[in-house]
Amino acid sequence: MRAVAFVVALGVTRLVVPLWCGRDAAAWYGDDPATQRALADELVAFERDTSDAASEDRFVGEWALVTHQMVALGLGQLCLAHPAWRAELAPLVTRAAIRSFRREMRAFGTNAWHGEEAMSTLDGDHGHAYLAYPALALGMARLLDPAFPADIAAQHDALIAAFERRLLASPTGLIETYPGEAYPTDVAAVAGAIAMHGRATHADHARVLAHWAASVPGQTDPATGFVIQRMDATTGHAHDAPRASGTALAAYFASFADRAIATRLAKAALAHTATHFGFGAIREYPEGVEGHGDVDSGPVVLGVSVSATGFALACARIAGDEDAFIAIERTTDLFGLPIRVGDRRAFAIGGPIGNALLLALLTVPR
Amino acid sequence: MKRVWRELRPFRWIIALAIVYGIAHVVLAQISAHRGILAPDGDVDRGYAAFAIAMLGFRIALVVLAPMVVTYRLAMRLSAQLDRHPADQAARVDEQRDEDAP
Repeated sequence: MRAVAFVVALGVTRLVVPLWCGRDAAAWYGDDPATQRALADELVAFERDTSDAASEDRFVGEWALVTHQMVALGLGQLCLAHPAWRAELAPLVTRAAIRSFRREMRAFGTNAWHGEEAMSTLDGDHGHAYLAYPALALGMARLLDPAFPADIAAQHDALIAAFERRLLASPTGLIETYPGEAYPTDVAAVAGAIAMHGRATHADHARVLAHWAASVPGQTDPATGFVIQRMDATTGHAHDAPRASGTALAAYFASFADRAIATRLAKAALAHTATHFGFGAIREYPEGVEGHGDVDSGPVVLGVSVSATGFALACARIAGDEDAFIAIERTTDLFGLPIRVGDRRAFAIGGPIGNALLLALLTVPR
Repeated sequence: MKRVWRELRPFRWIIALAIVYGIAHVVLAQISAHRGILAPDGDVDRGYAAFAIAMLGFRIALVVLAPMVVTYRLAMRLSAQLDRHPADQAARVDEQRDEDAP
């Protein structure tokens, strides 16, 4: 009898737990305004509460840059989806985007380039592709906010012109993030930033975007469709394996520039979904390739990557794969520690960067 | 009240777990506004990380193990009652037979 009771318990748990953890999945996939707004309000409060003075000594660096960038993109996507929110949220998109563009946010890049400051050397040939992250956010802000400051807009124009020149000059379609190192994911962000600049200013970037699109196959593994995580900027030789975390994030950035490429990358990432008991997660490495977690993938547990799994929420929306979205959202709910504070919702495990990423990834246009 | 307690007694550790989780959840909600496991500069916030990982353990125990244990105990109890029914019926038949006997 114990065995029968155990089997019944397993069966009920198998049914109930995924249903419980996926209780918000349909609302997210269906762009439910109340669900989206609850997470957006958490990030609105974060941007309002974070003072610029405090940010100079505490909230700085690569993660802070990505946090503000993703706040800008997430709120911007909501403005495009819900035009009635635009008047209220667009100034916050601008505030977050400008914060991501502050000099101290990119100090990690300046240090990596031995003191070469990216915005002071726009005439140079060094890629500084990490600046595509704030550039994409600035483009979103310029698209939405008619009061966007003219002086920042001029810097943005100059940065995009530098990216365009560097990308067109590269036979591999790669530009460096750090000396000698190119990341196809960052280059996808460069393409997304150029495309978003075109949408905001009506500048014609068709030539450079076509050059990037033509180079993407050379940056991907033909067997898996994954992008190579890290490559030699000059020769295009692989310096790392093809990986899911880079592919899934590249799909998100590519969605601003070329929907067909974004869909192809998204499907490649989703093809490596491991689903157990209704919960989905993305394997970081292709079959037969062993590897560890790092700053890009986050912890790799039983072969699946925390970052790739989160980024794949966007992939599922881009690819229109509702089943995959629901399975991955269940995992996000179980491990993300969702909390509610009044009308706001958040995911406690990731803090501001986790919330900012999830807002952007959960609301990318389908 | 005694009957309610008797019924809930087998699940007391789950109730205790839910209460502790509920309290810790409120605390986490208050302190998580600008914090996560990763600090803004990319370093791990050790104190917060320990708390959040403990909460994650509580959550998985509650969300996954609690329904399994509750279902298992209910299934065992139901089966015990089903087992008891034929015996009870047989006992009642025997009693009736004794009463009817001359």
